[in-house]
Amino acid sequence: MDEGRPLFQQIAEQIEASILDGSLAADAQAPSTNELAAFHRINPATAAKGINQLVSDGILYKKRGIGMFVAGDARQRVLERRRDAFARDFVEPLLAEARRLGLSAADVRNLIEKWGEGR
Amino acid sequence: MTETVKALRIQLMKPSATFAVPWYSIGIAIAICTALFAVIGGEVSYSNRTTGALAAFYLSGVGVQPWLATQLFPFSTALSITRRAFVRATVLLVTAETVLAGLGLALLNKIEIGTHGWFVHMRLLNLPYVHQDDYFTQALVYGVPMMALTSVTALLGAIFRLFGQLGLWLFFMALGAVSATVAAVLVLTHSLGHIAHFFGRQPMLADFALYPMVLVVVCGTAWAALMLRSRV
Amino acid sequence: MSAVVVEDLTMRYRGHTALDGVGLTLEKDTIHGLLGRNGAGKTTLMRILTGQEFESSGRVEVFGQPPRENSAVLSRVCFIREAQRYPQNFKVREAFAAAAIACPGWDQAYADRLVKDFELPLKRQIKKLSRGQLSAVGIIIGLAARAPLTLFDEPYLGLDAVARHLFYDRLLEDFSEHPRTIVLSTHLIDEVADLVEHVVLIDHGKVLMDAEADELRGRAVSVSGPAEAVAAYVDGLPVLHRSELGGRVRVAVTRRPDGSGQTDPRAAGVSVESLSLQELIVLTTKQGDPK
Repeated sequence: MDEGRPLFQQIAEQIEASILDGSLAADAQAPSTNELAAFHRINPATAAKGINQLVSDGILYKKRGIGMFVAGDARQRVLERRRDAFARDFVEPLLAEARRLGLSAADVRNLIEKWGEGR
Repeated sequence: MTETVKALRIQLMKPSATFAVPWYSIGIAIAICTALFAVIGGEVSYSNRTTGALAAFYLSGVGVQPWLATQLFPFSTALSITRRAFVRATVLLVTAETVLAGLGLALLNKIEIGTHGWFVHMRLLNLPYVHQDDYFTQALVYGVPMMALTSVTALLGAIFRLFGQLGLWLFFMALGAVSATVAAVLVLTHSLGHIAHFFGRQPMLADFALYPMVLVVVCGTAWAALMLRSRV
Repeated sequence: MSAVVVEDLTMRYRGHTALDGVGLTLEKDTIHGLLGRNGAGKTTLMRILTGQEFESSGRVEVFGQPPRENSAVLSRVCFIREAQRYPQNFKVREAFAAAAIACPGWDQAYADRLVKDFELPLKRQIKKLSRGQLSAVGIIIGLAARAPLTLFDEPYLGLDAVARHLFYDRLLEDFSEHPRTIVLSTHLIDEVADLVEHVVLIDHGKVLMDAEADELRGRAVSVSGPAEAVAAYVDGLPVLHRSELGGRVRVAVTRRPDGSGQTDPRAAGVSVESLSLQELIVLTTKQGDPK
C-alpha cells in the first residue's frame, strides 16, 4: 500500500486494474466490502468508500440484496479515463525529464520508435 | 437488581475460595478430633474432652473477604459491574453465609448431642458457654459472631485494597492508640470492673448475638464506604 | 448520538495533571485509534470512560450518559487493559464464565473458536499463564463480549507478531459482521494504521490531533534536495522536521489539506516521499515536546 494516496482510492484502482486485465469480467460480482477489508487488512469503512467511488464513477452497480457488480461498459470507461490521464501522468513527466536532460521532442520521438520496435 | 445478581453469581463462581472453606475446616476438625479421642480414649476422662476446634470454622474463613476485595473486586469492575452492585452482592453473600453457618452448625450440634459427642463423648460444637436450648437461638449464637468476624476482615481487606500495607499498618497503629486511650480512661476512672460486670451479667445470647452486631454495623458501613469510593 | 462525548476533561493527581482540558467525540460503529506515547494520558482517559476512575472536572458522556456507576451504560461497555489482573486462582474457563455472566452480548461459540485460535489451555490457572496467554484471555473476552463500546488498551503485551496479526484479523472480521464502536489504544501505530478510521493523538494530557485516518494519510511528506530548491518548494508550509547533510536538505512538512500549491517535484528539482501515519505522529508528537 502506497503511503501517499488515500487507501480507498488505491482499493478502487486495484479493482479497476482487475477489470482492465480481464480478471473481473463485465457483469461479474465484485468483491464485497467485508471481503476486501479482510483481504487487505483494512477498515471496512475504507473499503466501502472505494467501492462507492467506483459506483459513482459508473464502474460498478449495485443489485439490492445481492451485492456489487461490474458494469457492462466498465472496461471501456476505465480505458477511456486512463487514456485521458495518460498524457498528464506519463507524457508530461516524460517530456519534462527529457528537457532536464537536454533531449528535444524529436530525440524523444526517436527513442520511442526504437524502443517500440517489435512490441 | 439483575446487576446485583450478576455480581453475586461471579462471587459464587469458586466456592472453594469462598463459602465452602469453613465447612471443609469443620469437617476436617471433627474428623481429626474424633479420630484422636478414639485413639487416646483410654487416657482422657469424658469430662475433659472439650476441644476448641470450633474456632477452625471461623478462623479458616478469615481470608475470604480480603480475597474478594483484592482479587475479585478489580476483576468484577473490569467486567463493567458497578461498585454498588458488588457491594450489594457481597452483603447478600455474607448474610446467606451467616444464616447457613448458624443453622448448619446448630444442626451439627444436634447431631453431636445425639451421637454422644461423635461417639467419643467429645464436646466440639456443644461447648458449655455457647449452649442454648432452643435451636434458633443456638443458630444465632453460632451465626452472628461469624458475621461480625466477616465484617472486620472485610474492612481490613478494603483498607488493604485502597491504602496497601502501609494503610493497614497505620490503621492498626491508630486502633492500638485508641484502644490504649480507652483502656487508660477506663482504668483511671475505675470503670473496668463495672464494664466487666455489665457484660458478665448479660444473658449469653446478648453477648454473642447482640453486641457483635455493633461490629457488623460499624465495620460494614466503613467497608461499604471504602469500596464505593475506590479506584480500580 | 455519538458513542462518546468528552468536553474539557481534566484529571489531576497529586502533583500531576494526567488529562488537561481534553475534548473529543467518538462516533458509533467505527474503529477509533487512540494514539500517543506511554504516559500520555490514553489509559487515564479510557479508565474514566469506563467508570473505573472518576474525573476531576469536565463532561463525560458514554451513549449519552455519564458512565460513573451507571449500570445501564456500563453493561454496554467492555474494557480490556494491558496487564489486566484476574483472580489468580481462577481457571481460564472460569474467567470466561465470569465474562459470560457479566456481558449481555457474550457469544460462547465465538469465544470457543477464539480459544482454539489462540491455543489457550482452558483448565490452567491464571497464575500459571504466560504473559502472552494472559493477553490472549483479555483479547478473547473483548471480542466475544460483543459490547457496543469495546476499548482495547494495548491488549497485546507479550503477544508475538503472529498472534497480534491474528488479533487484528479477528477484530476486523468480527467488526465487519457485528459493527460496534471500538477504541484501540496503542503505540504500535504502523500495525493498526490501516485498521482505524478515526485517529486521536494524545500527548502530555492534551489532544494533539483528531482527524479521519484517510485525511492523515499523505498529509505529511518528506521533501529532499538542494537547500534552495527545497526552501522554494515548501515555502509557507508548516515544517515538522528539518535535517541537513552536505548541501542536501530534508524537510518534513504537512501539505495543505486542499492539496493546493503542489507543483511537480521533479520540475522543482526536489524529490517528495509520503510519510507513514507513524512517522507523521512521531514528528507531530516531537513538535509538542517542550524543549
